[in-house]
Amino acid sequence: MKPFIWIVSILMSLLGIDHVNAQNNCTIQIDGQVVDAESGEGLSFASVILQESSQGAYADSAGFFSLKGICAGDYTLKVTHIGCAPQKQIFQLSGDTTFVFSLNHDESILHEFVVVGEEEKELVLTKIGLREAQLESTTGLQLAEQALAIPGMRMQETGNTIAKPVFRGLQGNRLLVLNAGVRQEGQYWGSEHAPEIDPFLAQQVSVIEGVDALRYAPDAIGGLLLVEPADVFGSDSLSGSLTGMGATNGRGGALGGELMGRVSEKFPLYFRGQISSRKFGDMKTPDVFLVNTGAEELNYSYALGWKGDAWKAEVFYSNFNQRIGIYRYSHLGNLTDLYEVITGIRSNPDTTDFSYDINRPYQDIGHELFKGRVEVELDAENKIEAIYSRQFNSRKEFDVHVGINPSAEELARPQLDYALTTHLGELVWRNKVGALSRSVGVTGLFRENTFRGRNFMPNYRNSSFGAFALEQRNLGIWKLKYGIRYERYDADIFNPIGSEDDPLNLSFDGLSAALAAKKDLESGDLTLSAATFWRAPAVNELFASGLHHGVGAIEQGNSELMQERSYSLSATWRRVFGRTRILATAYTNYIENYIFLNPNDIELTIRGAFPRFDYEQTDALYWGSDVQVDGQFNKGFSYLATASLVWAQNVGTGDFFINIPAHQFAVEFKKTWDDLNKVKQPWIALSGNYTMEQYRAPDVFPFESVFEAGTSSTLPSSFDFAAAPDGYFLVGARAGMRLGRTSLQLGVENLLNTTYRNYMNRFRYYMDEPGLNITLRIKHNF
Amino acid sequence: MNISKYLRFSIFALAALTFVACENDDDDDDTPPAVNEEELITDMVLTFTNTADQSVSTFSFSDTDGPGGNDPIIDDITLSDSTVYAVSIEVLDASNPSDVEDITEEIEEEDEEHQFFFIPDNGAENALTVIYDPAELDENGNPVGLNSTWTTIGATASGSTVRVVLRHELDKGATGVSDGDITNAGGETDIDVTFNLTVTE
Repeated sequence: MKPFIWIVSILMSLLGIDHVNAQNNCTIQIDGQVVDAESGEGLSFASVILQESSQGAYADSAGFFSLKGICAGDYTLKVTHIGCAPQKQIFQLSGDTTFVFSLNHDESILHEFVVVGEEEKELVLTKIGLREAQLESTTGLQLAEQALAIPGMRMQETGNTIAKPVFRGLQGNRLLVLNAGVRQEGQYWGSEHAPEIDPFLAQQVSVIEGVDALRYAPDAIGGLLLVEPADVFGSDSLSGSLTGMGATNGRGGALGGELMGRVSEKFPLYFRGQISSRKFGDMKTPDVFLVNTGAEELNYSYALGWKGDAWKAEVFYSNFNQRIGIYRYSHLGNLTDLYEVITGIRSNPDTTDFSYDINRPYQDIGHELFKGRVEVELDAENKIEAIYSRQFNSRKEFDVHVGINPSAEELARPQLDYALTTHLGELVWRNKVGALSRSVGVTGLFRENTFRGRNFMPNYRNSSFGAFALEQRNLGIWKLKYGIRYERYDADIFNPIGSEDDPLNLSFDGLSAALAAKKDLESGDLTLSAATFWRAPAVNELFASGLHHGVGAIEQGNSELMQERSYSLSATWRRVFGRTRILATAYTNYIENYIFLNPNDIELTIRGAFPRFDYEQTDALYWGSDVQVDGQFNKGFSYLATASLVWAQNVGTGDFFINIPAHQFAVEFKKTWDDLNKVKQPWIALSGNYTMEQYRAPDVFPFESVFEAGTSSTLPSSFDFAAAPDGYFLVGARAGMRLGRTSLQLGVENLLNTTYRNYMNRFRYYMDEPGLNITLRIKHNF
Repeated sequence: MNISKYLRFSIFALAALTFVACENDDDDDDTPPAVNEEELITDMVLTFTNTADQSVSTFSFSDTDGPGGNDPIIDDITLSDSTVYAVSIEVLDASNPSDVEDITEEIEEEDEEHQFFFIPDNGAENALTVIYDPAELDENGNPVGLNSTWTTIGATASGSTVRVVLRHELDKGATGVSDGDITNAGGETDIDVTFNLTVTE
């Protein structure tokens, strides 16, 4: 602590009073530095907010910040930094002032979530995310796995190589992903299609909902997952990191490196480059190796930025390449095959041979993103931002069955081959006057999807134009943000539904609107959010047609589908009670014309009888709660307890939906010691995680009566092919420490080598989940 | 500031290069490519030759538009009692009527990975026995089933059926499989068709 600097600063500001001038001219500047109370080092990227005017800034990498264009008056300055208790300073401002804030960097509270309340360019009220240090304990995993530590976040897996994020029970078309500020455009409609994003890119992974998502999309019904790389302007000096991860299960690992800085002091040209790769072989359950469950990945990205006096420009490019093996014995011919596997009549060939080979079935996925962004400060109150991005997504799926006696050419080509090109342009104007700020923008999006190979989805072109207006007000302890967005969506459907000359045209339009309010409480806050979003039915929901080999089901689109509309409410409460912190969220989401796959009929094919799933609409209700409590028993001994509860109901029929995550409860105890010479803050942690059986699951498919009665058998109104697996309890352990600029973490997952199946894995019919896994993670910052 | 201008330019030059890089990977012509349909089995034709009088009759399963769409057409098989039939199977892709593809030959070429099973059921098990043609063996000496011998040993009750199954990548060495018992065969089902069967006296 350096209290004298404070006192001096405050005295300076009190003595330097010049009321008459200052009140009329909002030209006062506050400069300062945020430092660690113990070490005196500057705290990078601390957030500094003037609560009354909601003007704010982030500190630079050395902890320095500067706020300009402030009117004279009484203010509360709030300084927050990850891992530190926020600090407030109330003062009267009349002239240029300098502050130094010393924050206690509380290392003993290691379990924590970031709730980023305020940002420089826009007030964000609903963001809950994971900081870089938290991501370090999951380095090398897929994005959806890394995001699991966010309250409310779960995942949908296909085998162990494909993971899709699920937030509050919703996924796919309803949970959008924003990568480096750009709406991720891939073939995200399939549950076996994971987001094509390099998790090494992320400095922060978080979710936003409601009004905060409105600026990006009209259709963020389930929220928006933000993947944010480090700011290209973040470091004036050369800095970087090297990251490595190795795991015993799968006998693989990942490597990543990042370098960023400024070219020279003379030229404000900034750069960041990053590369990562992953390679894993077959995963192992407690008993056997899972054949063909390896994965490999090579990704890179770069960014360049130029900072002018009143403008900033940056370009960003990323390239993602992945090949993922799909469990060999998940591919079956018909319902009889599936029945025999599920009931154990047929057991899959056990294997004790590990392999790195990836054979059919597998997926080859490529994704490129280019983004250019220019931001111009017109004056102290007005800013304009223009963003253009182009994405290219390629998805090639290689089935195990390439036809009888395939030719060499047939063997080389994928059975499903999609190419999706997306252009997205955005123009946003921001205005900030005192406690009121606005943003108004227009967006335009153009997609073109083409396919080769098996006919499952038609070719299409699609455009979407939107306009939004957002306003935020700072009313002392209340902060308000509200907005509205209009979007028009047009699609031209080609082969095989329409022809190149005469495509089928579809168009939809609608309004989205949202409101959020945040109230500062004595030692916490309360955020309330209400929103209505809509989305046009996706092309697969309208026109998909074909047989899904893995689950022996025919999927049929429905061209009569109407747009889907959601009405959501949520409340998030944060509070600190002495040594205990609570984050609790309750939410409900009512979705009108909810589009889902419903089993409808038994259809006869030459492979036998199959259930046919049609895309249908109903009204759906999702509700649930996420609670996170963390605290300290005594110095160095802390805990984190979480509960994630979600319910979903088909309001139209009273049925349950399939693939809704079961309730989950977890607790971790952590012991941290004082520094031992060069070993900084060594810690160990032990965790337990209980996932309940999903007791709100649909009926089990009546195989016997279907085999008996064929197409004349009656089906339940909703069903799954097997009963939901039992609940399971997993134990894990972690340990870590820092050595200078290097951090080390050792992790043990499924410590007791428990055999279990996961309801949220589409391959639960065929395989157990991976067993014991020991991981080592190293990160070196320079 | 010449250098500054140069650097500014280089940013946008790099941006432009990136575009070119993107474009190279892209099939971005204006016409989305034509459908390139996967190989499909749409038809199975069973040809019965009465070994006594050499008379020939055929029964088939046909679903030319593939899974979904129109219902398949399935013939009812009618046979005479106490008769020995030589049965041969033809498998076709007739999804394009102007280019019907014979998949039978491809099964023959990959015969060690394929096998047909014939399963009389619903009373037909008392009216019909089926054995593989002993002359038709794959390179490992196991049956394939494209040719078989059906012997009727009694009249059928109403509702009798016979199921014809084609499995690939099965375990031909498993117990009973080479005798036509599907129980332990495993593998992946390519064809699974149930015909109504009538054996007249």
